[in-house]
Amino acid sequence: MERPAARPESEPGVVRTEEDAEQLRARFEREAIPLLRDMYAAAMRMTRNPSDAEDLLQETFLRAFRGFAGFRQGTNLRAWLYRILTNTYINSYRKRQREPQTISDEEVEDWYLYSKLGGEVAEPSAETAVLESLPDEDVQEALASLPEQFRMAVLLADVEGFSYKEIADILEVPMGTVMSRLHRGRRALEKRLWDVVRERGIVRD
Amino acid sequence: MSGIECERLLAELDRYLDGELPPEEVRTVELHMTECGSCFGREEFVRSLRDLIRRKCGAPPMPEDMADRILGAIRSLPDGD
Repeated sequence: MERPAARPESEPGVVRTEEDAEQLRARFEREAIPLLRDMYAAAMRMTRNPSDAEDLLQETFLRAFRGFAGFRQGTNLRAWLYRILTNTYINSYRKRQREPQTISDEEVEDWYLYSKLGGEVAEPSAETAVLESLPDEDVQEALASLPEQFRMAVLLADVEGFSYKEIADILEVPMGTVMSRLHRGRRALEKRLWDVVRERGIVRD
Repeated sequence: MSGIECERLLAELDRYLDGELPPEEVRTVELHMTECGSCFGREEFVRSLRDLIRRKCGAPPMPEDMADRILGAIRSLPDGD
C-alpha cells in the first residue's frame, strides 16, 4: 500500500550552533512552509470548513514557529506539525461542536459491509461500484459522523497515510489504542456507509 | 471463509494492508492469498474500500493567497517571541 512519504528532515552529522532569529525564520520557511498544502488539506478534513481551516492552520504554524528553535533535526517534521494541528483542533475547535457521541455498544461485526454488499448485488465486482456511485460528500459525511477519537484514527491512517507508530505519537496514545480505535472506527464507518447506501435508495435492505 | 488459516489471515488483514506486518508474516499472508480465492476476494474488497475512502476525502486546493497570509503572520511576530 502506498503511503505518502513521511521523511525525517534529517541532516545527520550537522551540529547546529548559534542560529540567529533571521536564520531560524529562514530555516522554518524552507522546511515547514512546503508542507503547508498538505496541512491545509488535513485542516480542511478536520474542520470541514474553509474559515476554521485557515484559523487552525495559522495557529498551527505560529505555534510550530515558536517551538521550532527547540525542534531537533532529524525528527519527523511532518508528524510534528500534524501533532500540533491535531492538538490545536482537539483543544479549540472540537469543543465548539457537538459533544462526541460514543460508538454504540453493539459492536459492528467484521465484514459487515462486505456481507451486506455481497448479499445485495449480483456480481462480486459490483461491490465497490455501489460505493463508488456515492457522491464524495456522502463519504465525507459518513466519516465525519464518527465519534472524534475514531474519526481521527481513521483519518490519520486511511486518508493521511500515517503508520501506527506515527499516529500513536500524534495522538499521544499507546500503539494498542491506535489499533483498537482504528479497528472500531473502520467497522463503524462501514456501518455508516451502508446506511448511506440504503438511504440513497441505491440498494434496498 | 473456511479453515483456521483463513481465520488467522483475516485477523491480520488490516495490519497487512497497513504495511504493519513483519516480512515473514507478509510472506505467509501472500502465499495464502494465492491458494484461497475467498480470502483474495476479501483482501481486494478492503483494498478498494480504503482506496475509495481516500479518494473521496480529498480536500479542495489551498487558496492561492493563504501561504502569503501565514508567512505574513509569522514574519510579523517580534523576534525572540
